[in-house]
Amino acid sequence: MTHEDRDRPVLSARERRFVGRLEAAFGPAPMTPARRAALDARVERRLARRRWPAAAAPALLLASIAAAFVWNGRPPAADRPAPVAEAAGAEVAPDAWERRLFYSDLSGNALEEDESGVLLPPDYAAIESLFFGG
Amino acid sequence: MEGVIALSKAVAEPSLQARFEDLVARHRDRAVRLAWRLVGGDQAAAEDVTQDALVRAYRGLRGFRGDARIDTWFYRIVVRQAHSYRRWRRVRERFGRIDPEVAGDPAPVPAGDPALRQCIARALARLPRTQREAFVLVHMEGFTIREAAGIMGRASGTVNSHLHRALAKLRTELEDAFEGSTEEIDRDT
Repeated sequence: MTHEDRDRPVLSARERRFVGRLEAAFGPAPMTPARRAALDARVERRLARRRWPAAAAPALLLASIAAAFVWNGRPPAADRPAPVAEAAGAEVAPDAWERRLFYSDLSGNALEEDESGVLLPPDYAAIESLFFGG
Repeated sequence: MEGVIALSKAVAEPSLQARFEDLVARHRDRAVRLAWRLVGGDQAAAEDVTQDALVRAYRGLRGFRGDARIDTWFYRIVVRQAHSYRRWRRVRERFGRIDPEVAGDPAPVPAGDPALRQCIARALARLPRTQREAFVLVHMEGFTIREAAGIMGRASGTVNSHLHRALAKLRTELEDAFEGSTEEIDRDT
């Protein structure tokens, strides 16, 4: 009895037959050369795709460090100009712009009225002031 | 091998590439067969599992220190990938997403009785993971108990015990499917 034989499970003749039948009945067909080549090609494509992020990693790292510097270099909140709507103390009902948008007279010049800024809620007015300089 | 050999020019790490090519050439087909049996007889799934395992093996090859044999290490990846595939398949089935068959060359149809194959796949699926893996590795793929223990990361005694339990359950489950042959076996013994 070889070392490898001792490392095999000990089966009765019935069990051996059962396992043999199972093994024969439950196995794949041999791979065709076309499928083998397709599998290799898919592996190759995936391994080649891996190189892109590795090459871009230093650039991404530099970009994130630069972004962190810019973010930290902003002036403190107290030095930043207050949003126009808050500064003006304009009292705008939260749903006024919605009512205006949906229930206003469509025959009038609604577009021009909406751009006045007075009807915008405070949050939106603040965003507008950031982008368009109030 | 054409596809993988072509990779050597792109990756430009010849020693690693040579080891990978050797791994692919020697173990690819057996890995597909092992995965096929572990995922329940689905050729496309078996190829996906093997593909994932090969990609993982390539990425891990640089750090492979040789504590285990390279084939043991690779088949461990295949077995884990197959397990991971089975888990995700359950999720996909629950949410009704069924992966289409790979376009192009249709999967070769295995020889034998499809109904019997289905019965065996269901019986294997009902086994606990470790029993199924031990049974497939040793009784169907011909690994020794020690090799299977290395692949599964368990003691040989534990694998042996899983094998006995799996065999007993499968014989009970598949008695009807193998009815004709069981009578034949009884006559033989």
